[in-house]
Amino acid sequence: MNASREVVLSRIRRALLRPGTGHGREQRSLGKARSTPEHTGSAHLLEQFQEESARVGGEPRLCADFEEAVEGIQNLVAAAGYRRVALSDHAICRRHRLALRLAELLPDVNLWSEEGEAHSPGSRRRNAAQLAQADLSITGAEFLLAESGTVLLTSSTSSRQISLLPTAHLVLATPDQVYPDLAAIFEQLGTAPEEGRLPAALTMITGPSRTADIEKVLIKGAHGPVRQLTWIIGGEA
Amino acid sequence: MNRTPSQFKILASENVADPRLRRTFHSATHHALGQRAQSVQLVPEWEDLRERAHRIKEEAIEHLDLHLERLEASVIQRGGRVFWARDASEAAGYVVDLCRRLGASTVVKSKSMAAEEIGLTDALEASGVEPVETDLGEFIIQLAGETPSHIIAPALHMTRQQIGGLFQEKFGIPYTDVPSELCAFARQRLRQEFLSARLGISGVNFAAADTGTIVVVENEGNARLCTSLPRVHLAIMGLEKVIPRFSDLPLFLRLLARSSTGQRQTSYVSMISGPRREGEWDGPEEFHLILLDNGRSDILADPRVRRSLYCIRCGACLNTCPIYQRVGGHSYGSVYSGPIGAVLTPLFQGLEAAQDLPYASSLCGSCSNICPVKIDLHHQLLWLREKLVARGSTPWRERLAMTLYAAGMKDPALYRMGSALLRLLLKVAGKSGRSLAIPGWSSTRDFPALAETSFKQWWKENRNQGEEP
Repeated sequence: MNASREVVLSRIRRALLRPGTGHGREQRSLGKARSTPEHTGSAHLLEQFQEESARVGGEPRLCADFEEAVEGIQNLVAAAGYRRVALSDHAICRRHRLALRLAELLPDVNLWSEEGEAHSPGSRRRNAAQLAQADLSITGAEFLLAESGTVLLTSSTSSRQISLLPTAHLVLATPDQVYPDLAAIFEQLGTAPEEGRLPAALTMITGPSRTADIEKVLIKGAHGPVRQLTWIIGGEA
Repeated sequence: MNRTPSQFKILASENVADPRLRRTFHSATHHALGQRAQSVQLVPEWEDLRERAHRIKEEAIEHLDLHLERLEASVIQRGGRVFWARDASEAAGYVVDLCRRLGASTVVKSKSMAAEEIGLTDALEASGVEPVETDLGEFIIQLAGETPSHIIAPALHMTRQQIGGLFQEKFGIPYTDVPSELCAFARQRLRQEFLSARLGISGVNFAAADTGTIVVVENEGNARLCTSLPRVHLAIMGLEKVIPRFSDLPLFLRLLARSSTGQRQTSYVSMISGPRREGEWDGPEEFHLILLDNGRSDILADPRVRRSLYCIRCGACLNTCPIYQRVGGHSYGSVYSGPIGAVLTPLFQGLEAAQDLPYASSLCGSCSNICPVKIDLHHQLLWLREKLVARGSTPWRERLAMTLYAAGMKDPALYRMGSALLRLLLKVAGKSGRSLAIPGWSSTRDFPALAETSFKQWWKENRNQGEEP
C-alpha cells in the first residue's frame, strides 16, 4: 500500500463532498435483466449457437457421439495436413482417453499432451514453446453462449496458452453446456464473491482471432488461432 | 509528431484539406456506424440496457472511494498487488521500477488508453526498456512514430501502401501491401517477443469491485498473450473503470462490443482475477494493478462534467460525430479524440490548453444519442464553453458581438435598429461585390443573405391579403 493511496482517496472524498469513510453504500435495486427463460441445451439454443458461431467465422459442428468426433479429428488432421497436435488435460479429453486413441489413429502426427505436465513456471515456458509450434490444439469447453456463439474456458480446467498459441483450436463441448446468456452462465459457475468459484482466468472466445487494423480489412488469425472450431457432442452428459 | 490540443484549428484545417484522409475517415466511420446499427437493431431492449448501464456507472462514480477500496481488497485477497498513482509520472515510475526488479529489457504491451495517456512507452524507452506494442494497429503506429487516430482503430489514418512501405523500410522485408501478409509478418515477429518477455502490460475495460476481476476486451489475441505468457502481468486502469459487481458484466459486454465494432461479442474477453492459482497450468506468477488518478478526481469534483467518467471507450461517439468524421482523430492533438476527447482533454490538460475543443462540435447531440452509457456529451461541451466564456477566454470580437446581440434581443427598438443597420451594411457590401467580412468567422463561410424586407414589414403589408374576397 503506497503513500498516494490516501491522497487519491481523500481527493475523491473531497470531490464527492464526503467527510470520510463509513458512509453506508447506497444500494440500488436494479432488478433482474430481462433474460430468455430457456432451458440449456434446447434444440433452439443449439441452433442459435451454431448460427452465431458460423457468422463470425467459427466452425461449429454437431457430432452424434464421441466416435464421430474422433473420426472428425482424424479427417480434420488429414485434410489440413496438420503435423503437430496438442491435447489439453480437460476432463472431456481424459474421459475418452483421447490421447491414446489419437496416438493409435494418427501414428504420423506429433502428439503432445498437457496431461501429466508439471505445473511450474519453468514448464510453462517449455510448454509455450511446444504449443507455439502446434498446428492444432484440442480442449474442452465449460460453457457455450448461444447469443453470440461464444465458448467459455477457465484456467482451472485447461491451460490458457493451449487455446491461444496453436494455429487452429478445436473445443469439444456437450449440448447441456449451451446457455442463453452470460448472466445464466455466471449464475451456474458461481461467480458471486461469496461463492469464490471464479478461476484466475475466465476466457470468452468468439470465433477466430481477428483484426481490421489495416484499412478496416477483416483478417482472420491476428495473434491467436486462425481457425476456431467448436464441436458439440451428443450422447454426452 | 507532437501535436497539442491548442493546435486544433490548424490541424483540423490541414486534415480537412486532405482528400485521402477525408475519404478514409468518412468510409471508416460510416462503416462502423452501419455495423453498429445492424447489431443494435437485434436488441429490442437496447434503450433499457443503456439506462441500466448509466445507473450502474452512476452508482460506481458517486461512491467511487468505496468501490475502489473494495476493488483493492478483492485484488489483494486474490493474491494481486495494487498501486495507487496520483499522476502520470508516478504510474510510469512504478512500471519502470517493476521492470528493473524483473530485469526486463523488453515488455509486451496490449492496447491501453490509460498507458497512452501517461506516455508509458516514452517513459520505458527513456529508462532503457523496450516497450513492444502488440496490437497490430499500435504496432504500426509505434513503428511510424505516430499517435492513435481512433480509440478502436489506432492506425485508421494510414493506407496499406504506407504500412507496406513502413514494414519494408523498418524490417527489410520485400514490399507488400496485402493486409493479410502484413498481418502475418507482424504475428510471426511478435511471437518471439511474447515467448521471451518477462512483463506483460494490459489495459482494463472494466474492473469488478466485488471479485477483484479485471476485464480485457479485444479481437486479436495479443492481450490474452500479454496477460497469459509473461511471468508478471501489470494492468493499468483509470479510477473510473471500476464497476460495483461482477454480475454487472453481461450488461456492459453487450453494450461495448455492439457499440464499438457492431460485433455481438469481441473475439476474446479475458476476465482475470489475480495471478495464477495453485494447480493451474499457466498464467502470471504476479499480478499488479495500477489505479490511475491523473486528474480524474478533479473531474469528479465538478458535478456537471462528472458523467464524462462513465465513458467505456467504445468509440461510437467518434464515429457518429460530424466533426470527427471530417477532421479525424489527430486534429484533437490528444490521446482522446472525438466528442469524448473534446470533453476529457480540456478537463485533463486545462481549459486554456484545449480551448478550441469544446467548440469542435455542432452540438447536434448525435454523440449523446449513441453513447451506450448515456453521457450527455453535448451538454458537457456546452458547459465547458460556458466556463470559457465566464473566464473571458473567448476572443474580444466574439464577446463584443455577443454583448450587442444580447442587448438587441432584449430591446425591440434596438432590435429594429440593428436589423435595419445590418440590412444596409449588407446592401453596401453587396454593391461593392463583397460579402460581409467578420474576422475569424467569414474566412470559412459567407454571411447568410438577409431577406429584402424584414418580417415585421412584410407582415404589415401582407397581413390583410388572405381576408380579401
